[in-house]
Amino acid sequence: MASFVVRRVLATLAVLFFASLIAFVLLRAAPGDPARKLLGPQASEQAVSALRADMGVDRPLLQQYGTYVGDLATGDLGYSWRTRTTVTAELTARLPATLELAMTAMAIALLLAIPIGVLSAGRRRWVDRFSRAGAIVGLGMPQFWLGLVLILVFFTWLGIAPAPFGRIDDTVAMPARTTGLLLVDSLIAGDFAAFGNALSHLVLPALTLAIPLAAYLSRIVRRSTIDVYRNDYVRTARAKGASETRVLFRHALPNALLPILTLSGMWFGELMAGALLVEAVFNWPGIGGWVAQSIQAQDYAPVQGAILLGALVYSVVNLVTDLLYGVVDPRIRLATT
Amino acid sequence: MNRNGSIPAVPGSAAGAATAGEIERDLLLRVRGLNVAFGPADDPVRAVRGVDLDVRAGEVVALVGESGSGKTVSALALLGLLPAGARVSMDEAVLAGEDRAAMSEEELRLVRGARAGTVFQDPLSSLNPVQRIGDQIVEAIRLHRRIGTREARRLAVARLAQVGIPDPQRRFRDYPHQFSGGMRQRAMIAMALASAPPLLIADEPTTALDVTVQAQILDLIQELQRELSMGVLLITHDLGVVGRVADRVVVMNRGEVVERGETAQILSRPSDPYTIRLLESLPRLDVAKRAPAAAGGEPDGAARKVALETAGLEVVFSRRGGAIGRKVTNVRAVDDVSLTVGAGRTLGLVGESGCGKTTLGRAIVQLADATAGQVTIGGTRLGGERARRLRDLRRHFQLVFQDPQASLDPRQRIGRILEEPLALHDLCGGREQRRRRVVELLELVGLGTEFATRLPHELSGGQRQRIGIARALALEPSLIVLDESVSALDVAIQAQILALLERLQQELGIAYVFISHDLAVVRQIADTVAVMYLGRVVESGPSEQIYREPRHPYTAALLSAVPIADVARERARERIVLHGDPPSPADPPSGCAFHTRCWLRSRLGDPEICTTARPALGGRADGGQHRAACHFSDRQAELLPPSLLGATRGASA
Ligand SMILES: Nc1ncnc2c1ncn2[C@@H]1O[C@H](COP(=O)(O)OP(=O)(O)OP(=O)(O)O)[C@@H](O)[C@H]1O
Ligand code: SF4
Ligand SMILES: [Mg+2]
Repeated sequence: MASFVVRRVLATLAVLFFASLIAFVLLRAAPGDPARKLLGPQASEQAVSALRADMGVDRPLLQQYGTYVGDLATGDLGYSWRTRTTVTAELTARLPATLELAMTAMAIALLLAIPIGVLSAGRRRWVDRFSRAGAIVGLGMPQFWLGLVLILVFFTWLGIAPAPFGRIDDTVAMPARTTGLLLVDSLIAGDFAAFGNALSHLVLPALTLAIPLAAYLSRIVRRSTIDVYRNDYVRTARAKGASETRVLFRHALPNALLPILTLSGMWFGELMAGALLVEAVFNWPGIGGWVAQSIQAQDYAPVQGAILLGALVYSVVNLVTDLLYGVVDPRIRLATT
Repeated sequence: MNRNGSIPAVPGSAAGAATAGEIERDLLLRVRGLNVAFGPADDPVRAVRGVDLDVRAGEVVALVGESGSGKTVSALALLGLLPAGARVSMDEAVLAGEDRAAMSEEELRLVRGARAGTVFQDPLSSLNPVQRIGDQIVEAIRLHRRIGTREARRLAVARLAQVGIPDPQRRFRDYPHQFSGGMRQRAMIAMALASAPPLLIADEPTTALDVTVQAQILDLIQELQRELSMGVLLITHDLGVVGRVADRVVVMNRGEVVERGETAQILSRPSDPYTIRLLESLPRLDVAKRAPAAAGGEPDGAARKVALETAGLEVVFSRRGGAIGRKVTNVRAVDDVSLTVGAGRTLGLVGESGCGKTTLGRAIVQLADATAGQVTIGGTRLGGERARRLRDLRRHFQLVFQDPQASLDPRQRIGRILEEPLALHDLCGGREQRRRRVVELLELVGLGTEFATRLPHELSGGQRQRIGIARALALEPSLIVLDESVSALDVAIQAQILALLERLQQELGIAYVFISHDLAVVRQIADTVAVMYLGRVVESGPSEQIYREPRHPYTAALLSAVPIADVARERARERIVLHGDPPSPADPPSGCAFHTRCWLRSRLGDPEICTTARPALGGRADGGQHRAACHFSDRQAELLPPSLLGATRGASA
């Protein structure tokens, strides 16, 4: 087990290294001058070259890369010239919003997909037809469009959702920051008004993210459940006299959900990527808009930071699911020790 | 008709004409006119047609028949365990002493497990892989009894102990994959018996197991059955098992009952043609291979060419383990094996699962790398060839796998499959010639030309195995290694394949290495036999001598564990019971590797030499070919129970 973790950490470091290299090269290979972009077409040539010197983009590429990696090694992600803040500060402020969105979406997707998948694996055919149709629709819809429809229905027509601006109403006091996740922070502070408000803001964007994933996962859960029901141990359970409910919850589900676990890990990365888009629709103060603007401004440091972050989240989530898999599946847990 | 075929010991069973509606006291299972159909209503697969069955308290009824004859489906239908889509009907049914027709779904569910225990065929897939063994037994107990978890645990541990699991306290917490095949089957039995049901339905409970473990499990079932006076419905295709434990037999063929009666009568004087054929195709421990015709007067000696020779062959697998991968475990799968097979002769390779038979076979055909020793085939010493040259050499030695299904590409037509090796080795020049050769090959293995255009899934298991053999024959090899190649087949088809192999040997002079765990099959086909235990050959020699006068206690134990389809001899036999499973090859016992399970050693009063010195594979003083690796092989004969080998020597002995 220990050696497994060590190997995975080393692999993660390697992934991060290559991600940083690719981010660095790609950004610099793009045409255009970041200093000129920042100052605008009116600025004098002198001012631009002064800024270029300040930014360090006039130095040889190899030297720039050296500084970048050196800074990275000390935990310094660089400086955003567009917003004039450090990348670390921006990330700390914005990442929790995105993470909270993605995690909630993941939870909703699983909560939808598991019961739907299990029910459509059952003997009632119409449930399956219905859920399959739903899955096709859910997977086929463009996400921003889905978000707009949800806003239209729940905010504009029904008026039961808050306006799609931000994570919490201005009139509600933010809870003291401990994790940056509003739901968690408000609970820690015991501030249920803030909790409710934050939750109501979270529901629509999280649903927007969750629905396509739920559509996909529900089909996987269905397949996996059907496969598990064909196993002899299900017959054994029935032969023992177990009721169908018991067969499902004690024998079929624990086995059927094992493959879902790995998939969820893979899909968390996708969710983070999807979040960037959905954030724009809901004016969510996450990293999405910030990254998009930084790309346009050719602001190197934030984009590099975001790419690194993506690679890191992906690796960490996969490591965690692999470890979890080892914990829940005794065949793996006991083989590695 | 002996339809109710009651055993005399059970009182009251003579009251066959019990008043309708009232169920006889000792009647546990009765069904009349059981029908099961699958598939569409207009074109149904009628898997079971009009089956009648009776099981009374204290008797073992065997349900026998070939694969697909409807044995399992009948049992599942009675238990209400068939998948959706099966259409079941029965005129009258009693399950566990109660009227089944009057039961609701819920009542039927409660009868399962409480009054009718079930043991299924494959003990690995039949246990939930992510639940502890103990918890699965506890569940079986608590489903039918309102007792606390702690009390149920105590009972479960007691059950595990009862079925002979060593150290049940600790094993309770293991998961199925940590158990060996035999232990899993014991756990299944413990689970089936959790609520001490009066009726036990066991579906092929020993089919996947080694003979030694099979003997243990059959003993266990019989012991428990007597102790608890259970009625047992034993589903099996093995007539030896029937001869050993069953009181009555019901024979099924294509969904119908074709014969029923007392075991002794059915096995000795069957009346139905199907049963007669079944018994005739059964390989027997006491019938040896017919002497090879070609050999004629030629003496078995220097004159005969050698097809295969291995000298000191060794295959060691190293596996890294431990926290940082520094601990290396070496598994000696094959350890110092020296064998000789004459041209046109057959060597049978037997032993329990995990003893290294398959690895040895693969090392012979250069599919596993030997870590020491040599393989010489047809005079050419193999080992260390470059890939190209090895490919050229391969035409002289071929391997036929256990599973015919898995070794044929499902999308290639049979003709293509057979042509491929020819084209690969550039053997018969043009396409037309290759075609002709394919036809020849098909005829050689007894299949018509029309098979060339078929796909593998359109063939039966036996036909597929013939294709596997035809493919091996395509290159006219001098040696074929057959790894459990007939084990998955029904006896009738198995007999056909064995006859085919013998015919091909006589016609083409091919030598076989025939790997099998089935000692009766090996007896039928092998000229010489090598018995393996933990990677080493512990006894080798002419088949006749090995079966009649084994010189190693392990061989004697294996032979004594094979049940035979002859009630009188089977039940008169004394038995050597080997306890437990073979030790791990990663950590073999010191001295003689067999000493942990050796019955001879304990009869001799545990001599120390067995644990300190490894016995060499030595011959007898008379210099014959019969060798055994035991310090006391010359003392075994006098200590063997005289009735023990009755089965292998036949009536003449
Ligand atoms: N769920 C099913 N759907 C359709 N056909 C089935 C189903 N289960 C079994 N059958 C068919 O019913 C017939 C009887 O099968 P069954 O499993 O009872 O054979 P068996 O005698 O137990 O054979 P074996 O010795 O191989 O276990 C076979 O032809 C089989 O293909
Ligand atoms: S050497 Fe000893 S332990 Fe080994 S088989 Fe012979 S008697 Fe048994
Ligand atoms: Mg069966």
